[in-house]
Amino acid sequence: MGGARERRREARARRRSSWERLFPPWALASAGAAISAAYLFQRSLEVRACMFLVFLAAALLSGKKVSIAATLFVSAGIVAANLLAPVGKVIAAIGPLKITQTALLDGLGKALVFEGLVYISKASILPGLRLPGRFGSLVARAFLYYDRIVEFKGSLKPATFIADADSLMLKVWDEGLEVEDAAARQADAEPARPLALALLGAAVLASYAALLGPILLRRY
Amino acid sequence: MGASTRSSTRAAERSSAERGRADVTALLGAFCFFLSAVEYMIPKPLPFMRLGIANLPILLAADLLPLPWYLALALVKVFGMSVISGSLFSYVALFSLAGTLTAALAMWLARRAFGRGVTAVGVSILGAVASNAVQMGLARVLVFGEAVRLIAPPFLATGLVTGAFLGVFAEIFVERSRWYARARSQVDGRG
Repeated sequence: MGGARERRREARARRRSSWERLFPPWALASAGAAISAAYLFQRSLEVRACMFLVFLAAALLSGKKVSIAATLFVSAGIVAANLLAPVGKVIAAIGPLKITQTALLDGLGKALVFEGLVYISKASILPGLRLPGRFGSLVARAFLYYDRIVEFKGSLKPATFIADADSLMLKVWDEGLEVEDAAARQADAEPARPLALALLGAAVLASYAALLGPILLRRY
Repeated sequence: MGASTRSSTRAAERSSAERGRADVTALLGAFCFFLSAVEYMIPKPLPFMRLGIANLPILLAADLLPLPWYLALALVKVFGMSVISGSLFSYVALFSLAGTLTAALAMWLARRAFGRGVTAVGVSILGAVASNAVQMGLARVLVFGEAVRLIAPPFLATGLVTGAFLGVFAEIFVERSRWYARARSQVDGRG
């Protein structure tokens, strides 16, 4: 039981490492943003469901933590909440609750958008993502401090939490930020890989073809 | 002392204060990430329903940073947390952005309007309730529709309780913390 869990964790770590080696953070994030916009404006429930499955597969391939149970639970909550305000033809009834067609489809659409955006985000945001400019350097400094906090050797005990938190702040503060963010600079300096860019370009094109294709077909 | 010496002294003080503000903003931002990771481990019924403990550094900063840096801290928090959790392009990040900016502005305005006439507990409760109210409004439009009125009471009550708890913590921390005292002098350009 524990062995199987350990193997799954190792497999996930391997997938994560391959995913991070394949895609430059900025290219993956840009593609993720473009695909998210196409998904958000997609009106067809069927196409949205197909895209959702692709996003789920991408999130799994990226080695990020994916919880199908949480997705089902949240989606059920969103659909149920939408069913509470009946709209459209009554298609079934559970006790006093009338299940109406429009409310059900609306709920399913909203649940797909909500969870789909979570998965495309998981797949497209890498820890090495850095923003340019002054704000970007402020975020990078915050991440450096965050690494220091996570590496802190002392402990935060409930009984002395305020004193411990203060010691942690002082220690991190006094150490300063002499260490360069070598990993981030290396990630920024790395040349873009043609295969990765081709894959991302194809994914963006496919998402917009799914969005604009039916509109163009209807027009011509 | 000559005019040019005075002017270069003032410029050095300004630059030191700017560096101090950037450092304090980055460190408080890092604490937001850390507290957000702690909060991530606490189970919650909906992904955007948060206890709000990651807002503690923003509450502490209300007395520490001028408005531009204070808002920068709020944005650093939202961006960094979204990168760590991988939710940057999702509604979760939008809820976080709306909630954090609303809470930050409400707390900052309360401090500026009432000064020490309102305690950290009051400021924190105001921020938490304002943040939860805006998130409920967004949830109504984007996810739940009219049914949001069913989850609004427990959501707002949670904000009240966690807001009060964070306020008490912030009050004691500000009183006892050596780091806070040093950060304050650095932000003022005295450190």
